[in-house]
Amino acid sequence: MVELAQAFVPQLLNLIFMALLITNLYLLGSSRLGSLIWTAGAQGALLAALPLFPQVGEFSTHAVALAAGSGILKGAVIPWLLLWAMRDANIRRDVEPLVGYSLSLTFGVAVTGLSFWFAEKIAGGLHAGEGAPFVAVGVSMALCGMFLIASRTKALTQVVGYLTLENGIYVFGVSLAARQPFVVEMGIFLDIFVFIFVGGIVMFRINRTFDRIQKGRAPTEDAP
Amino acid sequence: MGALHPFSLLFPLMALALSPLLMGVINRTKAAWAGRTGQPLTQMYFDLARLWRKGAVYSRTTTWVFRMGPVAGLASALAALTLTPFGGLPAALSFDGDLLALIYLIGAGRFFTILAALDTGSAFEGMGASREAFFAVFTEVIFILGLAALAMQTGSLSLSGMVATSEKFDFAASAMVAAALFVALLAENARIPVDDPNTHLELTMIHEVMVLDHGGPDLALIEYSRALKWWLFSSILAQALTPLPGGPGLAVVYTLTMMTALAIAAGVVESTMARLRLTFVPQFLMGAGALSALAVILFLR
Repeated sequence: MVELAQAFVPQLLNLIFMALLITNLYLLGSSRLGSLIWTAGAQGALLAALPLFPQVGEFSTHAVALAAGSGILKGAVIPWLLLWAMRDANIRRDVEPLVGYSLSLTFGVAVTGLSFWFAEKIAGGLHAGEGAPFVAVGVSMALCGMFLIASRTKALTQVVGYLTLENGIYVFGVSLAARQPFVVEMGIFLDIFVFIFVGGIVMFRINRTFDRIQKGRAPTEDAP
Repeated sequence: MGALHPFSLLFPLMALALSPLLMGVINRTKAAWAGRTGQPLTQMYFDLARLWRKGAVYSRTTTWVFRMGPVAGLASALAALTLTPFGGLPAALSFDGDLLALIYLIGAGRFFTILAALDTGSAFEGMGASREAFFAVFTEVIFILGLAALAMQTGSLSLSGMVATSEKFDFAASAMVAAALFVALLAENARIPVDDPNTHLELTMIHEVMVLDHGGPDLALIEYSRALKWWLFSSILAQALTPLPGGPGLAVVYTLTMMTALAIAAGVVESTMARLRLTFVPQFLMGAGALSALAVILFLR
């Protein structure tokens, strides 16, 4: 039984990494705001399982608390908030990209390849090489998140991009969790920024972009 | 050049005999899903026989290119079949890099179909040919990257070697390649969600519009090579993606079962999904291509 579990756990970890990378690409290729939010939520729920793996550190109450906390926050609360903001601010359901979906996907694949190469370079020292996939997946998620922020016009999409970026930092940090729980807990605190963003969207009814609201307040600004 | 296995020549013959049956399985699945009884499983044999007995009408605009199209299409499908292993046993022909030869043979078949479509001089068929060529750009990427991932997984550069070794089986990456190749299977064989084999709506046809001017024996050849192509793709998909059970007999039965399952899956996809908007197809295919690229990356590390 123990041998079976030992053979199964690395496969399960691989599956989670694969699912994370796929959600990543889906975020880049999806055109619907709702599915974007659901995918970010699924990503959060998948991330939450990571601290429980023996590759990360011993099974402890700290790890369980970390998993439960981030699972509830990233997998349920934040997606729910975003969906609520989408309904409440009457945001149209399509994404409105500046860069096309196919090009975004190509970027995603290229960045994933680069981050695997990068991880091989820097992660040799972490957990005797076992940290490499964590670094690779984390970096690629962070870069895709940044790309989402830069290449999508809507405020809500940028929040989702920020969330992905922050999820990437979490994956990166979780491989250090045993030694530096501080990094991961910082990551959780970053979620507070997401709350602030969502709060702003709802309060100011930003149903398009962040810059639009300023233009709306000062309509004469564009005039010569 | 690998040694010729005594049974290897049996498998192309098996494909010739049984491939129309798989089309029947797809149609029966669709019928069952819609609550109908549906055609008999052997309907395609009757259709082929009926078409074969008919005469053909050729437009004065067409040349020998048009008459060559269906024959060349069938020939390339047959040539590709000799490269395809079955049930974990090597193919009649196998050499390092035969996976590229296979992809190019399929490409050659498509090339001749496109030429024949253009030869009719109809703008309508030219439109279909252009779409077919455009979408093939994406499916070939999916297929080449997917097979490259399998080659890296098994450390073998020939299809026969790929299906024979399964000890380095990685569930996560294989699942990704499987999903990508399933999309390629549907796209290459003009099935929903990329193309609809039953459609005759002018604006959305892809494969059907290219073969509109073919009739009688020519159409029979085209339908037959399409069935062979489905057999070829689904047999590769069936063998490469799960570790085959030991023993040649069991593996052959297992492969046939998996191929039937794939046909049923395609029938279910066709019953439950609408075809994609034409402008959305490249994006869908790019997604599948991204999956196989990701699988390659996972094996590279």
